[in-house]
Amino acid sequence: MPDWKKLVERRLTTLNLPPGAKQDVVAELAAHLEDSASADRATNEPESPAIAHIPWCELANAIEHCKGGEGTMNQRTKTFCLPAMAILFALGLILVLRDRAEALQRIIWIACMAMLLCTAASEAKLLNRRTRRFWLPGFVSLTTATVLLFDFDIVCNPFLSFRLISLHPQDLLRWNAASPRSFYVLWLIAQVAFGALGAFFSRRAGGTRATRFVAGAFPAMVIVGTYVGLVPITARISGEVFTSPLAAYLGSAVLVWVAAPAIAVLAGALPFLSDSNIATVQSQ
Amino acid sequence: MSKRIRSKIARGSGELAVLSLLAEQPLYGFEIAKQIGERTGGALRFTLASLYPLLYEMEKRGWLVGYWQPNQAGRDRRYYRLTAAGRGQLAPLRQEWRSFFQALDALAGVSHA
Repeated sequence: MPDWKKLVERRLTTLNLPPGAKQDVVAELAAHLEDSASADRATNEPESPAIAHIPWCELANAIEHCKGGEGTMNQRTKTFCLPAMAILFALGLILVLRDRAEALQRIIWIACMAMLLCTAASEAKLLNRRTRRFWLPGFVSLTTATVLLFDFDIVCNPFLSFRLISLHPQDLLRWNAASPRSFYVLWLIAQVAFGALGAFFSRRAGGTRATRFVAGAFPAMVIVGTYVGLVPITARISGEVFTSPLAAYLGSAVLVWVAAPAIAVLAGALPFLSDSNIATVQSQ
Repeated sequence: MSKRIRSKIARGSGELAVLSLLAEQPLYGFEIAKQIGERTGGALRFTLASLYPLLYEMEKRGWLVGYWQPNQAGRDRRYYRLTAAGRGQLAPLRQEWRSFFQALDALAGVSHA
């Protein structure tokens, strides 16, 4: 079986499109040739040497003509989103450096992050397929998780610092820990939505089942990464994190911050792992 | 309809053929070409070089929307579906072609040929 993508890519070297758009064209034409060869084999016809007879240069020019406008950012991004993000970023930075208006700082970072995601979504044509199908949806689910953490902090606890709510696992598991636990339960419920969001965006961009799964589970993976890598190292260096025996602490940490959120995000991603929409299309 | 229609006529009718097919269900490029070939008894045939520029052009005009989705075999294919604008083009295009055939028929009696 030839590598159709490579064959097409080699013949479309003159096609001048942004990487994402070019990848799409190459993948689409390669899929067509692959289907064509399969159909020829199925009907016992000699495989048509279609690839040799295609006027690749003319085809590249025609495609470029049709998709010419896709190489640049749209007007809204250039005139509004990028300047607004730059202004907000500068403002946020000044507030951080002067250590002022903590709540406003958070709102600014949230707005920056939201605008960045909206811009990335609207400029998806400039992104390559892996970014569209995995990194962007994964980043969306992770960012919404962070935004909600900030939000809960502002809404639930506007005058006190977030750090005053102890999120140590042993505190969350204590029976009388009402405030941290109510925060944690809300956060856990929200994980379902984050998982769904990541998997939904990945499916919309054409992600495979595995990609949708990983994109939905992205926040949980980051938490696992943090616990497995960062927390023990930080604890060893600073000696401040562990207040109870290591094994018990890690056990409860894994339960509270890894296992439970992982189950929640996967539950959210589950409805988007099926290919029910394909069945609908085919049954029409 | 055994003979293939000359390419210039086929190209002109391409938009109508694609819009009519996609009005029934979303399809990907190879399926569009295959179904057009089958349904017209091979009279209309789209090659890779003629089909995709047409699809991209129609997508640019906002008549179609392309999106990636696995097909029945689980392989990623770029499906096209009709937009509201594309659906709106279908009736005028049909009418245009009907008028064209009537005019040609009056002139050359093609319906009796």
